[in-house]
Amino acid sequence: MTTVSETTLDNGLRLVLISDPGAPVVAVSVHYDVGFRSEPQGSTGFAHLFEHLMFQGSEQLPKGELPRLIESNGGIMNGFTRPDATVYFEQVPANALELVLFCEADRMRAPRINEENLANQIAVVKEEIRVNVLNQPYGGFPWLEDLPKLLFHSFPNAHNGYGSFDDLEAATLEHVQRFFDAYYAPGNAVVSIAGAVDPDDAASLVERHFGDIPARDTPPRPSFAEPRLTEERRASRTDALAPLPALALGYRVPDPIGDEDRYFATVLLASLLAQGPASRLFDRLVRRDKLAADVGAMWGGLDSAWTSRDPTYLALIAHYPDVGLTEPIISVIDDEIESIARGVEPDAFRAVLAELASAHWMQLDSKYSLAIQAGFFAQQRGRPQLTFEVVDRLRAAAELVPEVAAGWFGPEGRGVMMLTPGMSAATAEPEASGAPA
Amino acid sequence: MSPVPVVGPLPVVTLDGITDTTVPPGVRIVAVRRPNVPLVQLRLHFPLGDVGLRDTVPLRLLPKMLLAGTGARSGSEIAASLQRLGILAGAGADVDHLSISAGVPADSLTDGVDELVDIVAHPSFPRREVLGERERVVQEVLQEAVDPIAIATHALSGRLFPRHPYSDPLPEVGAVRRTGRARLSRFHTEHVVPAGCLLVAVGDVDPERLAVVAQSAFARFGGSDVDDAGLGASTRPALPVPAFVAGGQPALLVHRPGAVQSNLRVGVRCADRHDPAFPALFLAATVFGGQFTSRLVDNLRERHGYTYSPRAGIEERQLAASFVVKAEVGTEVTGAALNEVRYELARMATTDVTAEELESARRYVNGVLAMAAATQAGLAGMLGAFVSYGLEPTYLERFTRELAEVDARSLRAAAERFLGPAAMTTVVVGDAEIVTAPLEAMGDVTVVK
Repeated sequence: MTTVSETTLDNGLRLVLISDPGAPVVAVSVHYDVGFRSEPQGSTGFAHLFEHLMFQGSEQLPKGELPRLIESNGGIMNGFTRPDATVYFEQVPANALELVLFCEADRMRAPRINEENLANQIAVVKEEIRVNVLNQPYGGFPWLEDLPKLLFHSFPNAHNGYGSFDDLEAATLEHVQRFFDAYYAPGNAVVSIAGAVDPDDAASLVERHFGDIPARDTPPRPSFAEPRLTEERRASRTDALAPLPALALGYRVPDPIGDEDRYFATVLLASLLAQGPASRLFDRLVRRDKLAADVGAMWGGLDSAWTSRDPTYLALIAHYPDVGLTEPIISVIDDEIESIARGVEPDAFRAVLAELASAHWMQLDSKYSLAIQAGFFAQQRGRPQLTFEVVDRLRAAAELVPEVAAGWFGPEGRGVMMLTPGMSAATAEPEASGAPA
Repeated sequence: MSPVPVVGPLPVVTLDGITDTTVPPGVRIVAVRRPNVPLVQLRLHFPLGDVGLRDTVPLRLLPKMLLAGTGARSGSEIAASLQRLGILAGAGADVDHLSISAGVPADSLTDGVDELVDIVAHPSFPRREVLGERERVVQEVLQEAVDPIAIATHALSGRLFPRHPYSDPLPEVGAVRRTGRARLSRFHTEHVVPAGCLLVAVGDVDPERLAVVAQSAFARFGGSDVDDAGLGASTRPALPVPAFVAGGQPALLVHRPGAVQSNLRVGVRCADRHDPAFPALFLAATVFGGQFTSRLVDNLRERHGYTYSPRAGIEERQLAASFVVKAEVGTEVTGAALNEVRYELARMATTDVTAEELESARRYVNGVLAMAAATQAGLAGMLGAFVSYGLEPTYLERFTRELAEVDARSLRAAAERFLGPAAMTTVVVGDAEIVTAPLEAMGDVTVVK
């Protein structure tokens, strides 16, 4: 029987425990309430750079020791940075739980970063940006800058979260210490544990390792709210490395927390519209009208609908053979959204929900995705048990889908980003000089 | 300050309860009940026999065509039917297999197996869909042709498996557009047969019932297009074992003007799982570059900052394995990075790993395998791979025991046999105007514009 519990330590650290009998595996994720959105001007990319630095050593663990301890005990570990969170996670054999908690507590207490490690990780992050963005066809499209700049005006919401090379190179140890002091307080973090552990044992291990980390002030979260667009905004750019055009339509969506029922309806709408081979846009654009090679949906929080707070967006993305098809594709998308706004057959919802339920079960079978999901729900909503209620909430939100389609997915509030190819598709060689920016 | 907690012996993989049966017309079913969640993970692998080297277009088109029309049903109807059953399915093909991978709700299992078998057995290749899917493949090919990582992958396969289908050449657009309905239908009839198919099921499943369900689904496989004589996998020519290629060729540099990074690939054919040296080689590859705490990551990333995610490992196919090192490095450090890769390879081949490195790698591999085997999808994926390589369904237990017996001496012997830099094939995709000189300083280079 799976149980979910939630407690708060005296220093403000919140703990989520999902105890799930089964294979002797446990996952831990630590969610700090800081992401791209909290970076000051002049420090673009700092939250992500800081994530790298958290692997460079801590109070009792020299550089390299945390990964070595985790891996040499049969575990995996990684971290990732999102608009509203920085997350570190491990998955290990169940008897290595205490080791993981020790490691995470050690770096929450005090990372140990020197000039050499800072310079090293700035170089590594630059290579990460090169491999994922600068040297890659469609790199960063449309999530890194294209849609954020069209849909938002304020620096926190609109800037590039990977950061500029100039800003990355300007990072100093003083910035590192200030960032840690401001955002890595125990009261600004959630520890989420999922797997074959006894809840009482796990809670006492957390208390033993994290309990003596002194409480510090936690930063008030500023409002990042921005008004929705009142008219469509369009932009285009050329990708020197891309052989075919691509299109992204960005739509602001209801507040994931403040307007939760409508947000669940948005998640259901995204599936109905653009996720998977049975979705309406795949059926129309790819299968029937044969306008596009592929179509999909992507959340402003990147990997899932549940990692970002308000304001955020949904992107519909298509790759297609000819720029001349741009307007016909947009017109099909508008058709399908209008059709949903007029009403959806109950059978269509039942089918989408069956598919979403299977995806949900697959996710729950993986302990680290379970821990991470519950950790996000705890961090941003204070309700980790929502992890197990998602499908029911989506089902309940079905009746709101037409209203959300009509109220949020019209042409007037969206951003349209067109990417034109800089490579000749016929020869696959650069046109003009071909030197990437 | 509390001391670093010490972790005791790690749990070992146990694969209790696997059933292994074969039902007419020669479908092998490997199933195990793991009701973690109310799903069944299915993997269907159809060995393709010798697909030939002429062109690889049908391998790219066939998986798409399976979902584009079956019997009297359209692609839209197939997609809607799978969705209604809550089935998450994908189809793919490589030189060895046509494969279907699906997560099926436990209470949709009978319908799900029927659907998936029907999709493979009776594609109708509707004319209009062939045209449409062909253009999607053209777009895939155009994208791969300019994607630096895909360019590097194709270039290395070409060097490790010359004149063999494993060389996996990128098809020409013209060849894609010439591949019509008749060719696809013939490819399907000749290469996709039920005899010799492997069905793996892991999850909330009763293996005995599954065998009944599968037998009944496969009984309808033959249809009218395939005569009984065509059903036997043994009547088809088998894929030839790729000839071994000696190392020591000049490095291949594929020119990408203006590239801000170089894609380094250093690889060699090596022992596969049927070779007694495999467990030692696997741990050698792990120490070298198979985990974060590896020599490759420590050197290239954590000490030099040349790259973000360098890695190395053994890439397995039905009839051959290869060891491959991958790193996407800054253009200006291309030569320096290759030098470090070669240095670390030579160090593996000429000196012993430390006892700590060996034990650490062994525990890492054991833990990762045990965790993968704990999920339905992870176990289904591993069983599908291992059994289709000709290994027994409980192979993972044997592999774990074999890993336990590897010592520094056997690891060094495996590294000396396979990992020395002299035997390696090097491919670099990058800006030849900048990286040719430093690469030539280390040996001969063939530049491809």
